Amino acid sequence: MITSVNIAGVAFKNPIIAASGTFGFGKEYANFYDIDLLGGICTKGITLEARQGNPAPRIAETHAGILNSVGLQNPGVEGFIQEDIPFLETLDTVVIANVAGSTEEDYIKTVQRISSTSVQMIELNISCPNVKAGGMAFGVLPSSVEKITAAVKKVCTQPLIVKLSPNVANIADNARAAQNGGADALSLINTVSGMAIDYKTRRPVLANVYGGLSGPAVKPIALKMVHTAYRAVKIPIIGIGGITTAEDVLEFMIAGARAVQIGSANLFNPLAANLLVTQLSNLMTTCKINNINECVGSLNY
Amino acid sequence: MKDIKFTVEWNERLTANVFMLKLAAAEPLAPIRGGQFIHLETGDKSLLLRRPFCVFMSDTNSVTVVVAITGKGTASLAQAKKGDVLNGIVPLGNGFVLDNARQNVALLGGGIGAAALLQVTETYPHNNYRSYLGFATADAVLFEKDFARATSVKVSTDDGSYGFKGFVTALFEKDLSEWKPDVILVCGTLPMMRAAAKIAQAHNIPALVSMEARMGCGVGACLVCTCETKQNGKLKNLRVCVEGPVFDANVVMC
Repeated sequence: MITSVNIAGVAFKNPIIAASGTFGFGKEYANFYDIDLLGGICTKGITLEARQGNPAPRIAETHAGILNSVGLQNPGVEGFIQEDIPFLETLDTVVIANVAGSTEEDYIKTVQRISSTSVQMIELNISCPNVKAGGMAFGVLPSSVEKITAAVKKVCTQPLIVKLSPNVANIADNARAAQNGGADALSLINTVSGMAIDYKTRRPVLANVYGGLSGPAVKPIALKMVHTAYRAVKIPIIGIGGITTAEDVLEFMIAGARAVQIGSANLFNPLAANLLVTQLSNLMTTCKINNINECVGSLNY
Repeated sequence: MKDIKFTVEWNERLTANVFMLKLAAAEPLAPIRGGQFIHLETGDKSLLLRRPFCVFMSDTNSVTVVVAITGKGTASLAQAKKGDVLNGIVPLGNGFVLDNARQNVALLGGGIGAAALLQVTETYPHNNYRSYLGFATADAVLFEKDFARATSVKVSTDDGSYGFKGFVTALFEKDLSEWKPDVILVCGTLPMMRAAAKIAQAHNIPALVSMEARMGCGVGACLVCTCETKQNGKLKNLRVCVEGPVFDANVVMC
């Protein structure tokens, strides 16, 4: 059985990747299982300077989903290189660094710093809905998606993944814009903008008022956007959005994803991503799928 | 820390909206320090996130938690029956750490928050304890007998319907004229913990407080459960699940 996939020249032993923001820098889940069993892991969003993030509460559970407004709390690129790279270098799984920023210059400087490390891929986060400056601001208009992608691509020595926001007019336009800017792959979707209100206090549940929705609630939205993007571009796509079962993984791959990222599910069950690797193999056996790559973009319609 | 399968042994109602769950572990548990917590499934499959609860009591085979019904997750747990299976990650967080210089310990519990303190007397059995437990009314009084097994206990109620009339912090402060503890361990509402921290500061006694936060993963990865701390005048958001839930009062109550 073949479960390995190749994205922009990088080989993944399986298509299961831990999503940014739900997996820290890997250490926390290494307490629960051998994270080398995963296809890859994507780090928490890294910015040029250390950030303290948004005030708490930063999370609210909603029907079949969770809203978060962490706001990119992270140790900054130098903190990441000193504190986290040594551990990440011991891993035998693909390490993807998620990079965010407030200005184009921030993104460029951060990516330049990470380009000199052993990180195998960079994921450009232009879709964080929880910060005022930057983040999603770069990811809404196709023209700005193309501009920031092109600027970062110039200094990026690793394959570049651009993570797209669902909070846009036409995901196909943004997917094409990233491809035109030189992206080697796309990942989508980031969280969907949303809010939760406590009717008793008449206050927003999140201190930041608005947050990003993830979890099973967003899966149909994500599937459609992956499918739309798949039809719009030639570069490989990593599907993200409410995946909790092996069936979900296959559905995303059939829609056009070559790999998937597991986000919220890690929060529900610390073993979730590990279990999905096993469950996907079992499901492939049941469905008589010998090579996972045959599923990619195989939607009949 | 480990994700462990637990089976509900019993579920006992303590007050109108508070219940105690004894959970039997499917495998031997690592020692749990007083003030550490468990991240527990709610039993309602439509709820995705687990809920964090301080460990009230534990041994190598079981964990007992005390839960107040405050929302859907805790309402679901209130329905747990003998034999129900719930997964829980345990032990989590730092818990209360006492060094040798802190022999005389005051335990200040506000309402259900007192549940975080009892296990400390198991973790450090040779220290001297005095407990002060505060509740709104006589109907809400909890844990008096449990604490009495390990410490002296004084109880206050806001309305005076049981024990001392007034806040537990006032009850505690009264005793300070004849007994000065080496450290005060506090768990209760934020205003109660602030009041306790103020008294501790005024009497130059170190205080440790146990914070509560809405949590995601419970293991330090998702960064949603942060609380604001101030060290050397600098703001720092720390994770309640890893750097906490127990913090020096000077760091979080300023």
